[in-house]
Formats: sequence, C-alpha cells, structure tokens
Amino acid sequence: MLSVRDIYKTYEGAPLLNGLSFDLAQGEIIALLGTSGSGKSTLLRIIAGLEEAESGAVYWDGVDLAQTPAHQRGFGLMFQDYALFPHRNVYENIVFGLRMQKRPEAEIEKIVGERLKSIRMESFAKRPVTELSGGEQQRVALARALAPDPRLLMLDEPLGALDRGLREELTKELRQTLRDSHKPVIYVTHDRQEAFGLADRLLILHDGVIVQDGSPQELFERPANAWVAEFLGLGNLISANDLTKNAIQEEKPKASDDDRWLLRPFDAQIGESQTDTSFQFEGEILDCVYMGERYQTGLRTAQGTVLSIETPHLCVMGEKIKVYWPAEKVQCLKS
Amino acid sequence: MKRSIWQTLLLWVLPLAFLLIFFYQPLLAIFRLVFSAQFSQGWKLFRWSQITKPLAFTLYQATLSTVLTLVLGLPAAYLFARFDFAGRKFLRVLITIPFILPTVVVTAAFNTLLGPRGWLNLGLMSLFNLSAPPIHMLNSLSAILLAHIFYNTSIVIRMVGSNLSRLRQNLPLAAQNLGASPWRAFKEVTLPLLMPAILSATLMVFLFDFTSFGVVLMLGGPQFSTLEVEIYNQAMNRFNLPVAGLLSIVQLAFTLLVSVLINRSKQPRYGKAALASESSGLREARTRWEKIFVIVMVVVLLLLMVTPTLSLLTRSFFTFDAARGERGELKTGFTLRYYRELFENREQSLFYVPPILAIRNSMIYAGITMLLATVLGLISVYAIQKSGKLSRFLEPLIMLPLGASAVTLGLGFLIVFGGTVLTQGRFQALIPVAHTLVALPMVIRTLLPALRGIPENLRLAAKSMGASPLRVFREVDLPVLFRAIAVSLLFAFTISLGEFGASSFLSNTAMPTIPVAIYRYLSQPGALNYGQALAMSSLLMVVCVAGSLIIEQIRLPGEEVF
Repeated sequence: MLSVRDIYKTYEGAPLLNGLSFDLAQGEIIALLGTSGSGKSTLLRIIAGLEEAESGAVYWDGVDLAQTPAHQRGFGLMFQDYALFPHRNVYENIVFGLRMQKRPEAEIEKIVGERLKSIRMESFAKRPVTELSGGEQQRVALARALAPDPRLLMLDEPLGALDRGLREELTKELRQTLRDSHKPVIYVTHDRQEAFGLADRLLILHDGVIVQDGSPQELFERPANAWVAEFLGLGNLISANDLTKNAIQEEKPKASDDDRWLLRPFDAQIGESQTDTSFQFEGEILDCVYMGERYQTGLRTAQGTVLSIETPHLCVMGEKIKVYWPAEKVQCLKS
Repeated sequence: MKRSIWQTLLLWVLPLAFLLIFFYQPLLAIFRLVFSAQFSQGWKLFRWSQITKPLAFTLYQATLSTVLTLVLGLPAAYLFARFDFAGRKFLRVLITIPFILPTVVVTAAFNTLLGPRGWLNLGLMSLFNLSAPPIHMLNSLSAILLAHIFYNTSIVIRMVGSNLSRLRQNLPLAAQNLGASPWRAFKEVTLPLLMPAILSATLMVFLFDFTSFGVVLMLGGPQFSTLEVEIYNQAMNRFNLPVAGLLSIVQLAFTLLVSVLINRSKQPRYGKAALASESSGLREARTRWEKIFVIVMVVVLLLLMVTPTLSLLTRSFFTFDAARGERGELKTGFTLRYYRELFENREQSLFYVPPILAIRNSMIYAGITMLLATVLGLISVYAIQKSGKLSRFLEPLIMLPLGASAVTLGLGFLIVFGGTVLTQGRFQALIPVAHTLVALPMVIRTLLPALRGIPENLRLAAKSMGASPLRVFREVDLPVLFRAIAVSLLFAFTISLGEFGASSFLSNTAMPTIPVAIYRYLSQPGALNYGQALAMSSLLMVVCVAGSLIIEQIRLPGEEVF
C-alpha cells in the first residue's frame, strides 16, 4: 500500500529526516514513536503532500506521488491542534471534505449524520467549534478526517492536548474507531502507553531514521539498541564500565565499552545468586513506592549507581540489600 | 467610600469642562445656527444640491480611494506576511512613513513628483525639448486618489498583514488535506478568517478618505469639493455659515456611523482558534510566479509609496529656473538656497512673514498642545479608570472629538468665539486648543492601556507600606507610565506640527503655522516660494519621521493606537 522511501529533510540546516523508509500494509495500524522535535509531524506532512521532502519518494500501490498535489491524495490527516475551522460549526467542519468531493447532497447528509452519531454528538451539529471542550474537539476532528473516506488515515498526537484521565478513556474509544474503519493508520505519538495500546506495529523514529520496526512484543523483548530501551523505559541501562565497578560477582561479559546492559526491574532477584554468571549488586535502599501488587524500589550501590528494581514487599529506607539478575535475563544492547 | 466618589468626580471636572467649552459648545453652536437659520428662513437658505453634490463626491472619491487602496494594500499585506526578501525590513519602515506625514507635506511631495515643476515633467521636458510641462496630474481626481493610496495603504498592510502572518498555518493545510485545492483553501478558509481584519481596515481607510481635507483642497483644485472642503469654502470664502454648519452636521453623522461600524468590526471573532500569538515564519519566494509577485510588488510599492517623499527631499535641494519676479542668476543644480531663505527676512517678499516666524509659531503651539493634551489626557485616563461602570458613559464623551473633523472644529470656533469671520486676530490662542482636541483621543488611547496594565496589587503594596496617594503615584504609577507619557508628548507634538484643517480656519494671516505657510507658498507663483515650501515641507517631514521613529522605539510592544 504505502511505501515511504529514503526521505531526506533538513530543518534549519541540520538533517531532520535522514533517509527514512518504511512500509504500511492494508488495514494495518502503525504507531510512529519518537521524542518531540524528532520530525514525526514533518513526516506526516510530507506523506500528506503538505510539505516537500528534499529527496526521497512516497508511493501508493507502487505509484510515485511526487506529482499528486495534497488535495488529490485522499490521505486524511488529523492535526495535532485539530485545526478545526473556527468560522464553521461542527456540521460544517465535518461536511467540508465531502463537499470538496462533490458528493450528492442526500449522501453527504447521511454520512455526516452517521459520523455525528458515531461520536455521540448529534445534538452538537450547530455548535460553533470554538465552544467545544478539548475532548469534543478531538472527536470532531476525527469525524472530519474520516468523513471523506480517506484511503489512509494519519493522526498527529491526537490525544496529546488532553489531560490524562480523558486520554485513557479516549484511547479505548479511538482504538475501536480505528479498528472499525479498516483503514491503514499511521498514529504519531511520543507516549509509549498510547502506542502499545493502539498499534499493531511500532516504528521508533530517532536521529532521522526508523531505528526499530516491530510488534509491541518484539520491541519490548528485543529493543534494537540502548536508546530504544531507554525511550521505552524498559529498565536500568548500565555501561560495561559501571558494571565492572559495581557487580560483586560476575563472569566477565564480552562487550565493548559503548554497549549498555539492560537490567529490567521485574527481573531483579533479592538475595545472593547461586551461579557465577549472574549480575550481582549490593546497595542501600533509596526509596520504595507502592505501585499496586509490587513496590518500585530505588537502590544505590556503594559506587553511586542507582538501580530501579521491583520488590514484592516494602523495603526500609537505608536498608542494605543484595540483588542479582540471572544472566539469561540480561541483554547487551548497542548504544 | 463617599469621599472616593467625590474625588473621582473631581477628576472628571477638568477634562469635561475643557470639552464642554471647546468641543460641545462649538458643536452645539453649529446646530443652533443651522436650525435657527432654517426656521427663520423656512429652509430656503440653501439649495439641496449644495449638500448633495459635495456629499456625492465625497462618497464617490472615498469609495474609489478605498477600493484602490485595498487593491494595492491586500497583495502588499500578503507580501510582508509571507515572503522574506532583501531589504524587507527597510521597505517596511519606508512604507509606514506616509501615514504619519502631514497633508501639506504629502501635497508638496506629489507636487515635486507630478506637478508642473516636478521631477517627472522636468525630466520629460528636457528629454523631448518641450517648452511646457506635458503631464497635468495636479488638480485632478487621479492626484487625489494617488495621495489617498499613498496615505492609507500602510493601514491595510498593518491591520490585515498582522492577522495573516499570525493565521494558524494548519487551517488552510487542513482544507487542502480534505480535498480543497490551494486556491479553494484560500477562498474557503484563509479569506473568511481574514475578513474581520479586512473589514476593519476597509472602514478605517474609508473614514480617512471620507474626512480628507488638505489633500482634496490642495491636490484636487477648485473643481473638486468634498464635504470638508465645501465647509471650508462656504465658511471662509462665501461667509455662508449656515450652509457650512449644515455640511458639518452631515459630515459628523457619517463619520459617527462609520466609527460605530469600526468599533463593531474590531471585536475579536475567532480569537486564538484562528490566530496564533506569534507570527509564522517567512520564506523566500520559490516558484517563478512567487518571484515575479515579489519583484512586481516591491517595484510598485517603491513607486507609489516611496518616490513622492524622495522626490520632495531631492527637489528641495535643486534649482532649475529663475522664475518670474526674481532677478536672480539662471542657475541649475544643487542648492541650499531654499533652506537658507527660510531664515532670512526678505523685505520685498510677496509674503507677509518670513518662514522662520511660521516655524516659531508652530513650535510654540506644538509645545502648548503637547503639555495641555498630555495633562488633560492623564487626568482623563485616571477619571476613566476610577469610575468603573460609570466610565462606559463618560468615556465616549471624551473620545467623541475623534469623530468630528478638524474643519468642523474650526468652524465651531469661528461661530462661538468669532463674532465675525474677519476678526481673526483673536484666534491665535485657540490654535493649541484645537490641536489639543485633535490630539486628545490619541493621547488617551496611548495612556489608557498603560494605566490599565498596572496591577492594583502594586499600589496596595505601596499603600500598605505607608505611602501616601501622591507617593503611590510617584513610586508606582509614574515609572510604569513614563514611556506612555513620553509617547503621548511626542504624539501631541507631531500632530500639532502637522495639523492643517483647524489651523487653516484659525491662523491669522500674519501669524501662520508651518502647514498654513506651506499651503500659501505652494499656491503662490515664483521659484523661491516653491523652493521655500519644499524646504519647509522637507524639514517638517524629517521632524515627523524622527518623532514617529522615536515613538516606535519607546512604545511598549503591543500598543497600537489604531
């Protein structure tokens, strides 16, 4: 379906997108994850044809879209700030795309009616969009993007402007809407919870390229490098150097100086390991926070390295304990 | 509690008394004169055509001027809001200059460009060896229109341009994404969102064109008469005060109507949903059409907005002919003579006064106006601020003089303080008063936002530490208001220096102001007169431009008087 090839784009002289490529299959929902300023929004605009890449190409079913202007691409984009037309009411916003397609008036009315119903805002049709709450605006923006039946739907941080409670509620609603639409979807966010909750596949954008592309499970189990692991918040990342200093008992692992060892908090075992291959640490409890069922505990070693571990019981601050990670649970990652 | 009400009322006394005596009394006198004359003579004193003809022409030229100003101003607003090009900032400053120029300067400038002794005619004459100037642009409707375009284009550029540059870029892009072509997106989204600003600017330009006096009087010539010019003619040349008064009432009614519309149109419509707080970035012209657009616009703007002032400055340093009545040597080329002549008293001069006297007069009037307007303005803004809800009724009373034209003021003064038109000597003292009335609304609009910007907590804090009310004013208000007061002083000063309408009614033939002197020099034959008019206009222009540049420097960001 959609193929993005070697996109290159600079921002104020520095490369923003540096030869980025990926593919999207029919009906697939992918989440594009990256820090703010990593070029996610720019990439969406390039795909939509609203901005031009300096080199590279966007294909749809094998056809290069270089000559297709934005308004003929049929790609729906929901903007981060929603970009609802302030001079038009809810109905007039949703109807805009359909009017541009010159559909018959009866059909238009039916579609908009369905859209309004699906977002449970039938009674809001005549409301000015400037009077809507953040959540309502988000729903109208989604309805407007979906109304002209785009062949691809792109959402730019659709829940980014909302507060957390509303965000969790709308994530579920959004998942249902996106599944029901059976459209290929690119979902841009910097929030991993949102991405894990919505997407079939995740693309991690870093330094202008896709550094990892896989299912949530793949990313979680086998992060491509230390940056991905840190970005996804997978656990402690210890340099080989720190490891040599801290670990009490270890079989010299083979790794270069730049590599990082990923020690996941929930893999930490309290006590002393029985095998030589484990990663053994000793330290003082810094803090201990109840997270429901388990405790998230901070541990500081004598060398000053702080490790995050999960413990089944409350630890006393200042208490000295020993923890270890079995060797098979520890991953060595390229930085 | 009671005491504070009395104090507030006390604040109102001075500004209201000033306005009652010098604005409402003359205005009322005009009404009384017109209606008593009509009643006693049974409405037969005038022919309807005396009113309808100037009114029709005023509406006609104002509409035409406004349309033409928009034709230039809207693309220019687009140019400055979107594109970056070499010299952009400099051009931006240059095109704001016309707006602050006194009408006599504009007249003189167009004279040096298009007049019989202007650059264009001189150039064509020497090029084709002609004996008479080939272009007769002065005393024509096109001269009036050109001058109005010259004056008001910067209003459109500023009001529409600032909205366009802050318009959320995602809105038209969203339209394109939903299937609208770029042109359609502009029509369906960008244009409707800009409409309030365009409407405001249009009304504002229309108001200025409608009330235009000096330009029409001096560039249009005798065959063109707007309401303003006709008021002047009827009062000063035909001594027909009732008709002049009736014209004033018609004029006032129209300007009030347009002012009300302007106030309505200024209410924010879509707010933050349409406009970002900062302007979006500029970009260089990319496609061939964009490049052509930028080049054409820059050239047109330079021609229409910059050449007149440039031509005034240069022409004031050149002599071409020894005109009739002068026995001077025939010298062509660079000269400082016109400037030197400003300071010499030529006994045989056709003129009653040496130019230096006009300069002295204007300086005195401007000094008095500056102090009077700022002191009255300061008292007024405190009165407005302290009265709370009551100020909603009192504020318009103070701001109304903006709606009345200077010519109407002059006429009212004639009626109330004049006795007969011919005893003009007594009016000298009224000139700074009239100038104060013209400047007061601007001064209040400068001071009021600054005063409202002072958090009440600052004053309470000072009070709680034991400061007396006067001390609070000195320690809290004054430092914050300082810039605004400086801006007000400068505003009032430059307004007074350039004011022509009221001065033309009130100034004694022996005691002209600078603009009145320039008007007289321009309408007299002789190269020396012409040169002196140009030299004086150039000086006045330099002072006004310097004043407005200083105002721009010390004005706090975000305070726009218009």
